[in-house]
Amino acid sequence: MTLDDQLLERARRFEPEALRALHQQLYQPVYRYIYLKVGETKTSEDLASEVFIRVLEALKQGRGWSTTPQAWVFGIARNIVADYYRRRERRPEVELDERLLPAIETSLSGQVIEAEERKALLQAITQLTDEQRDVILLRFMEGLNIKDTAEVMGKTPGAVKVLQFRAVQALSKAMQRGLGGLKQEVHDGE
Amino acid sequence: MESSPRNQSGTPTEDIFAAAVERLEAGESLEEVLTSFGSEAEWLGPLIKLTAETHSLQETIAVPSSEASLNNFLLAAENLTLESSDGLKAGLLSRLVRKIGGPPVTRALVILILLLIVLGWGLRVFGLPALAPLTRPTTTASPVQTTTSSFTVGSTVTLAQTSLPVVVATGTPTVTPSPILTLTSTPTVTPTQFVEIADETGESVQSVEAVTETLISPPLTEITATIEATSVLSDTAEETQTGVTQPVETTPETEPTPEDDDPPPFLPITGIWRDDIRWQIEIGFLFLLLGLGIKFSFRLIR
Repeated sequence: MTLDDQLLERARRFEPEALRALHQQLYQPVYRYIYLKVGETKTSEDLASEVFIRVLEALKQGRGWSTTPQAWVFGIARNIVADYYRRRERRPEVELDERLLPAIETSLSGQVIEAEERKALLQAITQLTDEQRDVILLRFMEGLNIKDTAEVMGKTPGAVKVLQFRAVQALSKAMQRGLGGLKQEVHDGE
Repeated sequence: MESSPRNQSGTPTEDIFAAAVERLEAGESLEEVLTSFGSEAEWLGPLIKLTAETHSLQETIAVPSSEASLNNFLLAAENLTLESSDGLKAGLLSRLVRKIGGPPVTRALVILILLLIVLGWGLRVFGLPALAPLTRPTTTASPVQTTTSSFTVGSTVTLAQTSLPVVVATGTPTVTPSPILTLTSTPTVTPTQFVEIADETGESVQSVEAVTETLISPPLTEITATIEATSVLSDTAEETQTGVTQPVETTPETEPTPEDDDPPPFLPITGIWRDDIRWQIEIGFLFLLLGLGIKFSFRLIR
């Protein structure tokens, strides 16, 4: 029995230590994922909490992960974000504003170029399609493997390989457009 | 579907990219990986670097304290635990579901099949609604009534009977010493439960269950039985006397009144009433169990 299996058994018994471990392991990744799909701090916090309540309900019904906790919980998070946009009847498109990048704000004084590149990268991510954004966030930002990413997205590993390649290509093009625009802004300013 | 671009060796570019990423994830350095891909490194390099930059975004996103979320999470778990201890579905069924394993649809089907087996067993044991009227009298309950008829030994006794369920025939036998009374034929009783023969002192000497084909109708009107008395005269000899048929008019101890046709206002919970309530409770419980099972199964499927 793997550690994940043991954790699942204990979590199904609602052992506080197991639940605490699960929450600590997954809260930050889930929050980041939701944050980059929603773009609002408060909403992201609420949705992240909702994810974990949904996890409890599923555990109570005897369900759980078949591969890894990450894949299972990210799958729940993905559904919750989809429900959120369905309720709001709004296209899942993140408007990047300054509040989205608190860490970059503080680093601007030191490493302007790097910070601007990160800002452009985030901006580029928001311009991707929903599926491309999912694969970039899950596969490259959170480091899920192909199999887990496929499970979260309900696709085959082969489809994820194709999707991740096209997503990175699209991201690269969006980055070039973003950085080009940024350089133009700097040039115009001078 | 749009065909993927291929490199010189014919390998789709997404496969090259996936292989490069996997090698990086396995711990190889970027230079090592790019060198091994030769001319592909030109387009592969920027994309691989981009994935690394994406990974570094983890540090960029400020995550608020998880304290509040964790507290809510643990509190919700506590509430669900308390709720589980009250409910059958979360206790027994959840444990059962965990043991069954497999995808939710399979588990739901297994639960439903088990519940249907339980329901079927219950119906078999407690009876089906459609069969119940055949096995239960539908006549109204009446007070026990004794109908007495005197008779001559060997005579055929006819008793007018208006109510159920007990009929007692007492007689004055013409033989001495005290005879042994014997029913020599199955009484024709429509319908009743049994006929009891008593001697002159009123002590019951024989009880014969009357086999009737119809328990519902028509209402009992008459009992006909031939009764023979055997007198033991000595240790070695017996004498049997048969009398001439002497129908005697029936004298019910209690005259039925029009009100007797209606059920008494305060019927004791006996007989069919008790059976009905018990049956309803049992069947109700089984259907409640089935309903819970269906609800639980649907939740599993969702």
